[in-house]
Amino acid sequence: MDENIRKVSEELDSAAPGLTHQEAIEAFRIRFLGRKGTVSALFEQLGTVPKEQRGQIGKQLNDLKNKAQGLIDAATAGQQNSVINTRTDLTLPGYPVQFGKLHPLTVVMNEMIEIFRFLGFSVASGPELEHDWYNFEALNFEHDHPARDMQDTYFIDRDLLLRTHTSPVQIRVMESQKPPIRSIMPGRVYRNEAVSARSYCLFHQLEGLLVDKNVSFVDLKTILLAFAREFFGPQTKIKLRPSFFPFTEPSAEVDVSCHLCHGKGCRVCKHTGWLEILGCGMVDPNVLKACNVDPEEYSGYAFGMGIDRIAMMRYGIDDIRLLWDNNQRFLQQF
Amino acid sequence: MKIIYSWLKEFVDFDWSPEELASRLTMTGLEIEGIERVGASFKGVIIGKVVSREKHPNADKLSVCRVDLGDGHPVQIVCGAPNVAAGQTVPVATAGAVLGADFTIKKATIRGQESNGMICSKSELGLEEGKSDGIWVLDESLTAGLDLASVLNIREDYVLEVAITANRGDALSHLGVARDVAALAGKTVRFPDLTVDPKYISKIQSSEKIKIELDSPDQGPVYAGWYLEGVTARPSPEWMQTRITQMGLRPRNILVDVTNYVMMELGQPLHAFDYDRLKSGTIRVKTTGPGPFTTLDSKERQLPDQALMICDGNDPVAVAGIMGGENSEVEDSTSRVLLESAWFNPSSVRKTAKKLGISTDSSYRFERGIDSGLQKTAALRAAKLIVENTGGKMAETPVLAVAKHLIQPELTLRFSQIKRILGIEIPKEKVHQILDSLGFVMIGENQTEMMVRVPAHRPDVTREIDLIEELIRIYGFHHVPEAETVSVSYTAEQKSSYSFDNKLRFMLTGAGFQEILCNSMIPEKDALLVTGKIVPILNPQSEEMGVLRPALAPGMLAIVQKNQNHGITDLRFFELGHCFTSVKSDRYSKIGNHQEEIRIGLMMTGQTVKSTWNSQPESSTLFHLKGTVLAVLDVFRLSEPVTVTAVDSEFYEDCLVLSTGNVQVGHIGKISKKVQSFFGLKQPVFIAELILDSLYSLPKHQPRYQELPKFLPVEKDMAFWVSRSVPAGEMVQSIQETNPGQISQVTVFDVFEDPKNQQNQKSVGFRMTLQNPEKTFTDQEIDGIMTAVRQMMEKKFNASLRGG
Repeated sequence: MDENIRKVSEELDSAAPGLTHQEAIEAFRIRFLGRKGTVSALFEQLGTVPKEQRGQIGKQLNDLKNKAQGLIDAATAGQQNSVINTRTDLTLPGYPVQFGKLHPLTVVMNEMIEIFRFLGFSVASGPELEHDWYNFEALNFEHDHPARDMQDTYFIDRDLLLRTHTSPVQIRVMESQKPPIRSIMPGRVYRNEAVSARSYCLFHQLEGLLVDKNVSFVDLKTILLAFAREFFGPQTKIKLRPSFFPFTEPSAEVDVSCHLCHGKGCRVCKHTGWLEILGCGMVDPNVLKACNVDPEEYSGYAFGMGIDRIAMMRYGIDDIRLLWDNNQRFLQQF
Repeated sequence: MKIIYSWLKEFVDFDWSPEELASRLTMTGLEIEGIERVGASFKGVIIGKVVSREKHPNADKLSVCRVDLGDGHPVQIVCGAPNVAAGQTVPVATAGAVLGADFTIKKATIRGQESNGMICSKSELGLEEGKSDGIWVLDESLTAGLDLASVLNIREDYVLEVAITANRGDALSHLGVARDVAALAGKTVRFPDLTVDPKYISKIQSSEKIKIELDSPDQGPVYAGWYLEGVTARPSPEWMQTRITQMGLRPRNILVDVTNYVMMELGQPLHAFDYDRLKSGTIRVKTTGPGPFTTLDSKERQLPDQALMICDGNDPVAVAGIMGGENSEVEDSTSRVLLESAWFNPSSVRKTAKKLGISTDSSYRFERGIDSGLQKTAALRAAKLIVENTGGKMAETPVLAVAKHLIQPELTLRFSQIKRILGIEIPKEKVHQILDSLGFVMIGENQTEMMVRVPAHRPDVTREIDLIEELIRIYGFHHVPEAETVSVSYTAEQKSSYSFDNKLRFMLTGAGFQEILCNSMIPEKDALLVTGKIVPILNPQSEEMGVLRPALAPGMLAIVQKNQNHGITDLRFFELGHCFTSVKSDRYSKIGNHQEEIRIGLMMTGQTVKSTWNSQPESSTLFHLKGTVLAVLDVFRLSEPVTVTAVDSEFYEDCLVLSTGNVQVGHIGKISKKVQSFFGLKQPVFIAELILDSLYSLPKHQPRYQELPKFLPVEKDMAFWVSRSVPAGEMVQSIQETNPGQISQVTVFDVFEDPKNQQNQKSVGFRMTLQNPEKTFTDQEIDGIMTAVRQMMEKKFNASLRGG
């Protein structure tokens, strides 16, 4: 009996590889487990086995039956999978949907605007074609003063020019609203500078203006630090250096600790650990006066930054002209 | 501007390294942009005497010299300079000396002749830019064997490049920078030595030699002259030449060099006239009319009207504060000199310099405002340096003319304002110390305020706020803390298109359009394709950026072309930007004679649906773009419906104008063949532009909820044969109007033209959605509606039911 069981078990093994289609599986089932199958025949012989061996042989027979059934089950499962594969190849690519992307400058600009809106600033805008009064005069740029050389200007006529900064919107906002004023002014500005990898004749700025009672440099520093940490990361530090802008006094340049090396020094920050990103200061009393705001009653701060340079730092873009070439392969990267 | 480290130390004591000095100055507002190490150590370079010189036996251009290096045993050196000769005293780099960054001198054999070093030129020693004419022949009194560095008093030094902001004219000199250093270090500034050995002073008074007349007191109120005689226009001493070279100028002769030296030292621009070339005995400072004038750089320039001139009697000899004239310039033969040290009105100098198109070291300083109390002192300093180094004598006194006294303002500083503006208190003793070291003079003080007189070197300080800036500049912004919390006071959000602009951006990117940003300055020929009403730029950078864009299309097409050159031809772009046209009327909010409007432009070209393993590609058509544009317009929720009208256009070959009411809000078009070939485009391009200013200002409606229909709609299709010229849009509208309230929607599902059809007809299939909010239609009612539509079509459009 042992011998017979072993023989049938070997037959199972040798027949198993042939279970590649439904007919073969059915034939296998009939041959071994059918009413007249070999395994069933062995069960019928169990009665002839001596009583004391019956338990052990019975267990062997059950194992044999389970083995046959296991082979059938496995082959059937495999069969079903292959049936699905011939119906639909799910590895084929999905039908492509190509979204457009925002221009990287818009991405950076939007991110900054959202931070300042969260900090309570509303968005204001103005024309790109400006009068001398708004672009220079009201901003305390005196006539025939070298400060006018700070910004190479494109002129349309004696009075009209392409704005060289977003600061004229400060004047327009102060003309149309009374303090408290809490505005940011994003926009495109123009400088008559030779085009190179490092400079372009137009770029984008984001300007901020707050005018209220009892506004001091502490408030300015506070908002700048809040912005820097939101934009560059929570560990960011800021450093202010005295500088000169005709429309603010005192004025400062603001450096933020390099977000790449965290102040250790790297290629992006030219090994200084700091990135120069914005200019700021307290609104010059002459500017407030030009807008009929009493500088003894109100004070304010203003700040401004160049979006293009910050975007270049963030994305590691080494040639500013790429931003204006609008190569589809470039734009799809952001 | 450049500042020399060792020179600065002559004015003020400080222990900081060049790097530390740089970072401290940067934090006071004088930004140091770079530090350059100069005046190499010259280790191993010694004085030698050329004992003999012979021609090199194997090389025409080389000499073999025997040079005494002080030990009495002359060595052989091969030299290539044409000017080497026996008897000369020369600098010799001996074996082991390092010149420049890494050029080590070694013993060598040159064409068979041993050479034990190198006879140096100035440029080889790093003392002259470019290539020197030959070896440097030194004063023969120098002893052989001495170290060159010790003889010339040349040390290692540093040149700091300072970026001076437009308000800080006072810092355009070593003295000026030293004042800031003194304020930082708590030291006082040391003025250069002004005592003159009596042997250099003559009995003559300058006023005996020259009269000064100030005819234009507003432009030229202060003029000092100092008369010198018996001087020679010889080269300056080496130490002065070194500094002048390090400052980036080229040494000329001592008369010219001293004027530059004192300007860089004290900030006062000076000019030296050859006294013998002045004929009238009177210097007149006055404005003149236009005319030609030749400046000392031998260029004839056209003087603008009202230029302030220095005149010899009535003949101009210098453009005041800008540049001297060729007619009175010092020459090699000059022995008598009139030194000019004056104060000119900054904006007058600036106007003339601008009109002449020149900027000199002198005009640069005058424009920014120089110290109005320094004229006599600076002239004395310069006269002293000239006579001490050339011999000759200076007049005992200068001639000084003052037509108008420049008054130093007195300012009140309220202590409460420091706190109000800066948010911090600055200790009173610190306030005193800072203002004092910067030269402000205390006039009075009480509990709440103090009064100071502004020094003559700070014309930029005219208000209390300027004093507060001076305080924090020196005290340091690091003393200003950040607050713990940001408080937000509520201010109503002003009307802004920001949010809606972004909504449009996100919709369009979702629809597969890529945002681009184009230059607003475009070539005139591109702009003229769109309109003749263009806005040119007066001073364009190039023709390529000659005018402002009147529309977004030209810029977009240029970008399509660039991408096409990179093999990228399937594109969908949009841009949001300002466009500019010149206008005559006042219809829009106008600036001057120009109209500026904000537009959004959409562009499609190439395949809009790519092929897949299961579908064919689809090329962009005008209808793809039309569908997108109308969907975008829908988002504005305009109160009035948008109407679409076909119009003729030169830019577009098929063009639709979009309007609402009688306001045009945009257009959609397929660019014409002419425009396509102008931009070198290989395939059709479809462009739409919407005028956002108009769309934002038009009345909008709020959506109101409408009850949802309770009954299922019924869809019915009908196709008609109709003349090819009947527009589908009209038929759709007419069908809709046949049974008001019962046909909720009509679309075109099929357009078919049978090429064999001789009657010039087309078949148009309409799908109608029948919907009654009250009930379900009976078959009879549906037949009734269909019949009404058919009869209307037959009657109005002469159509016949297809297959009917």
